[in-house]
Amino acid sequence: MVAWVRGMIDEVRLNLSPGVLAWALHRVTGILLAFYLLAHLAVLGTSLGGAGGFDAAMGGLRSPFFLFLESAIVVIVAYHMFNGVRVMIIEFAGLTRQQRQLFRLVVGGAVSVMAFTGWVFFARVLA
Amino acid sequence: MNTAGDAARADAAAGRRGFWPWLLQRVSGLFLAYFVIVHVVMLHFLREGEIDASGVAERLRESTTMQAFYAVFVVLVVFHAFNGLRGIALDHVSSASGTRAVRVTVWALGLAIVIYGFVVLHALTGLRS
Repeated sequence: MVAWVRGMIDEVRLNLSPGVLAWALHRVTGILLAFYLLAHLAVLGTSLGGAGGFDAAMGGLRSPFFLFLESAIVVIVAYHMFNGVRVMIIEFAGLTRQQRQLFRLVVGGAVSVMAFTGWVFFARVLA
Repeated sequence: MNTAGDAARADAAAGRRGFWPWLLQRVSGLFLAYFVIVHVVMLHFLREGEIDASGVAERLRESTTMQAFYAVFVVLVVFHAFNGLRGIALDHVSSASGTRAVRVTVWALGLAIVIYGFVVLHALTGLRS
């Protein structure tokens, strides 16, 4: 685990470029989303014990802490989705030479989603 | 730092992953973009108030389209997640026994989670408050 993290950091540090940054972020966000998928299913799994347990679990997720995590997931999904589309454009449209500009679009899109999500988060927490 | 050795190792790793896992990761990803957007828009923009058991059950019971949507969503997302994790694992494992362990683990966990997802979807549909 520690070796893996160190390997990822070295990979990015030694080959620093938009391409390797996009790859590393795609991998890290993908792993985070796999864990989120399990957590999401586990929360929905409270429905196996009936409506009371489900509503209690949903109620427990309304704190600012979980709202923040939820907002982070939205941004993580946005990056993974935009970069996934970028990878497909590069591969299927043969736009390898435009991959840096495409990465800028991906980052721009993810930052825009982050701005919107951040706004929603603060509006709800401060309300 | 892009030496011939690195390139050869990358080719070997890509070869181990196979054509179909590569293509299906793109196809499932493209569909997931649609499913995730529809899911988030439905739950957070086309709906008022907090998410609760009666609302979830009502939406699912009212329409078989909705049930089918989530059944397909579960399969797609678990496939995409475990195919992705498999690719990462194969970057670090190259022995025959290791590759087999990765294959068995990914299939076993993936199938178990798809079944769990279906069970949960069924429970959500049947919720009564």
